[in-house]
Amino acid sequence: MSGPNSGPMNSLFEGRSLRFIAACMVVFNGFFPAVWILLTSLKTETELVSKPITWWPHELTFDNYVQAFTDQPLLKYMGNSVWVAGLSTLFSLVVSAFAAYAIARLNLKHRQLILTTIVASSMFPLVTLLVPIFETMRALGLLNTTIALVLPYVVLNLPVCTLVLVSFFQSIPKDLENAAMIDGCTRLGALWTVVLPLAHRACSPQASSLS
Amino acid sequence: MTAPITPPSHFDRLRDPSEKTLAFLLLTPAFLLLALIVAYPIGKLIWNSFYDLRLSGGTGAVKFIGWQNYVDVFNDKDFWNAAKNTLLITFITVPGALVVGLGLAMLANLPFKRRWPVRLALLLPWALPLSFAGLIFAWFFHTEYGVVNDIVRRFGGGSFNDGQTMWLLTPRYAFAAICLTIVWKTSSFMALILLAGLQMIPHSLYEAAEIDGASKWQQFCQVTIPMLMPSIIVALIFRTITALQTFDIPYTMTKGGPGNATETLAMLIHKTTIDYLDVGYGSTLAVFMFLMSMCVTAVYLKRIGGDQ
Repeated sequence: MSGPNSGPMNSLFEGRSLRFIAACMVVFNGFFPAVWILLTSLKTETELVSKPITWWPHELTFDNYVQAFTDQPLLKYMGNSVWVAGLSTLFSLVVSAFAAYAIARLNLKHRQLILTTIVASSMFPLVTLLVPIFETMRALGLLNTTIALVLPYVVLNLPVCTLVLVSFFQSIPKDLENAAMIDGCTRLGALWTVVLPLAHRACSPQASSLS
Repeated sequence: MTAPITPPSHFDRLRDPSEKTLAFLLLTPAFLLLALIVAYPIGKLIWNSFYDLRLSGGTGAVKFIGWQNYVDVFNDKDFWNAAKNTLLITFITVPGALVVGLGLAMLANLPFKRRWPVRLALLLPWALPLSFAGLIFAWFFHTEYGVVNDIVRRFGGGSFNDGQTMWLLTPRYAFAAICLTIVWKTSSFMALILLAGLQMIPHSLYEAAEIDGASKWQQFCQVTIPMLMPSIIVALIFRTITALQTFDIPYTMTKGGPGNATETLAMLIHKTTIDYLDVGYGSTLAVFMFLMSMCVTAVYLKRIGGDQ
């Protein structure tokens, strides 16, 4: 018997070579566009517009990369992206972890209603709200600040983050927390020292998805 | 002898608040944010939709016009066209991404020796920004220098207009190209969710089915699909909501063209408010898009409400 969770596909791809073909299909589907763009970036401009088009660059050139960095402050742009992504990741995790903990663990009356409100309201198409959000930011004096960009992103990520973290918090045994509290931890202390360190496994994929 | 019980000081209460206070404190940031970014803007949007708010006129006059914007929407050919395109994209790409994603997930679930190239290949399209995927595929579908037409020229044997198809300049082909790109981009998200579901299915179920003499196809239909149903539904709902909001990929591939053959509702709203500066009418269109999303969200709410 091969792998534990394979199911009907397993016998269809019994042989090693067939499994290799299956892997190739998935890899090709995922990588082809990226590889093609990489190859394109290494071609000279004349080669790009020659017919028939070439698949493999005839003469490698790195001019395009030099140009990308010299034509505009690309490093600064990249820095901006990393900065905004980092901030929104941090805020999303903090906000959704707080909310998720309250929903999963505390004695709330309308926990289902609260969860659905958070998830549903942040599912609205933000594109349609561009103008009012702009007005809100202007009223708050936040125009042309990073915060104005970060806050909508946090909302955008709130539903998935909260849903994942709620189910994760529910899976952590309550005894762990109680033990910490018997040992003299406060509830917030237990959240900080016991629950959150365990949740970082659930947080990291969330964090990586935000870029 | 017991120690005298001292009433908790103010400081203690702050350090260890009661459940109710703590819950309130923990939920405040999320709700404050939603009020600021979602609730207030929604109210403002509805408010704006009753006004003649054209920033391009130069007069800056704001006039209350009642339901006039809503009446205009119903007589607006562009709106019906955009609504049709949005629904078509949803009905084509959501099942398309489900089928492709299920295939990818089942292939990726095979017992490979090295799993990371396959996993990475599943993650890559999902991690790519939407607009970037649109730009890459626009280059693929370029009439002269795109790889799609090149392959047709080399191996097509004269079919498909001999590789001279103007993919992004012919309404029907542009639509197909956009749908293909969306399916490629979103199927990996489906595959990731479905893969997690596949790994939860206990192998003993397949063994039992085999002992009962079920064929591979029967195992797929009677074991895999029913066990996957919860994951499939979650994936479908999330995908449908984002499909209704399709913007980036058509915007980067065709800008809605040729004409407005591939214009979606989100693009029409963007054009009306940002390019034409007609905030009042744009808001009205946005209200309609809102109602569409709400219908799907309602299905979703019923679903997660029903589970508990």
